[in-house]
Amino acid sequence: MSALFRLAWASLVNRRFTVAVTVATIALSVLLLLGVERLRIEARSSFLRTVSGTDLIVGARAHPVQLLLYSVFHLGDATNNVGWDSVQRLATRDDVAWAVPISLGDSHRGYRVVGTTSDYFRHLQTADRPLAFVQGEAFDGLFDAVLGADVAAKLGYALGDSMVLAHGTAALNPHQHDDRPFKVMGILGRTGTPMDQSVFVSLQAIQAIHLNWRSGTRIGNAPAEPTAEQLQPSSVTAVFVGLRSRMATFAVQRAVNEDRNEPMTAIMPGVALQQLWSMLGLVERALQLTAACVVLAGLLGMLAALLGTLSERRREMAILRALGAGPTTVSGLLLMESLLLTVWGLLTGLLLLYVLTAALMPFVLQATGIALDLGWPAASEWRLMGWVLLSGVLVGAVPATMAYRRSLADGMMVKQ
Amino acid sequence: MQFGNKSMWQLVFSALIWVGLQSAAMAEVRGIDWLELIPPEELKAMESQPIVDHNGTPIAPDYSNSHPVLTMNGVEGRIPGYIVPITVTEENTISEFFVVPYFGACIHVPPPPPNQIIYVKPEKPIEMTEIWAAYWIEGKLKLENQANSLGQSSYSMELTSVTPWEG
Repeated sequence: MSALFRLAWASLVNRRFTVAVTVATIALSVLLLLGVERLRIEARSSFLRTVSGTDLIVGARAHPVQLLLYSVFHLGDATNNVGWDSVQRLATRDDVAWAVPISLGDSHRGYRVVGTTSDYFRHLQTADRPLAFVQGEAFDGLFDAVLGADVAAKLGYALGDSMVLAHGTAALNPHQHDDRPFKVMGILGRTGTPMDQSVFVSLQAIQAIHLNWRSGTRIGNAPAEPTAEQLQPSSVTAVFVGLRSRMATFAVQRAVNEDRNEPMTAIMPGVALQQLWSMLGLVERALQLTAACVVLAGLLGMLAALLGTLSERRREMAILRALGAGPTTVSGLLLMESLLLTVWGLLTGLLLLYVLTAALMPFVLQATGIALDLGWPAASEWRLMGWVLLSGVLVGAVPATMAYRRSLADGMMVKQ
Repeated sequence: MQFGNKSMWQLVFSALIWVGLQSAAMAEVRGIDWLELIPPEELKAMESQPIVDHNGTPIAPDYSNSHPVLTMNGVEGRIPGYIVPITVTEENTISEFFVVPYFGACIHVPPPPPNQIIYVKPEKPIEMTEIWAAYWIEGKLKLENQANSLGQSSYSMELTSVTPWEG
């Protein structure tokens, strides 16, 4: 067995260039296959860890997935707002333990601003862990801001720094609220969720900076000392709700959905997330199928390379036969070569995957909020690699069988 | 195949007996009906309710009269229902869920009352299920005294298994 191994190794090393190209083809296809799988798993777990500890999310009437996407993941925009009296009615229900309203619509250099109450930091969780401050604390004064981990890191903010919010969600924005700068009061720890890319201020602050805005345009400066009445929010984008007892979930959800005062939708976050995945399932399937086809293409390339050299190696086979190798040994040699090529391709592909992941991690996080992982491959990834290995050996069986037949026919004489 | 081999026949027979025992065990699992979870007097009241009217405003459900059946505490069996995930882990497994008799019913039908909802927190999170598919949920029913706004206890279950419901 080890003799076969050494023979196969030497044979491949002898044909370095062809071998290198074949290994590169397989490596790239493996990179694609594992890359797609890794991204799929990371995206899913990134989304799953964001939704934690909240029983219901309430917003203006919308498709459940749409509501989930804009309220939790800050993807897309709200269809409408929820009136303050509806929020109050919801918060004062007997079966509601806590209600945290949020107000979206402003941004800071591309990062979303979330207007909310200080209860946000007390009740909202990610990955079953409460939010933690690495520096400072929740907002206290009117123009205090709390930063998510990435915002502070990327923009280099420290406690006490001053920042100006912009109206709307565009990254480069001419509509600045620069008459009312904010002070950084706290910085949150990393969560690996969209919270890292958010700036948190109080609901009153959102009201305050918009006091001199009419129909989306700024007129003059905001009043220096706004009254409590002026700071009372009239509407919010969504409300996160925690219930006293889980058993009331369906009843509260139905009460919100059927509210005659205002059209609203209440969603169970876990259910809405599964609805999102079933919608995306088709895309995932398509990506996986494409990646599998690319691997097949790579392996067929290997087949072509092995078959191509078969004729040239007839003399080599004859010499081996003369030295006492049976036809099984000869075909075993070709099987071993294909196995080695596949293994090298797999290892190179895996190496490329880790290198690329390490290099692209910060960019992917910034662009999509997905935190890539540099850990050991997951169970599904091991399975995929197993399939690739098996396919490589099966593909190798083709030239191996041909070599078997030919060496039987040729014997020790080469007919050339 | 050689029929003269005695030990091989023994193997075949023991395999058949094993299969027989398995199906007997399956047949022993008690089926739980959703209506068993409602006290008889409430069932009578439900029967006297008007037929679902698809016109006009639906009546808000009143669940202050919804009580569990105390004798169902400790009953082991399986119930056909729909799984509604409450908490999903990062690995896309369900760590807490509700079992309900129907799901996605039209908006004019009231949501399930507390005695038609079973809360399950399995020891080990279960694989993700289809929201719109029915499952056999097998385990031991328990009555928990939970402080809720309705001041009543509600059903939960110690889970044994979840299998797809097939006709």
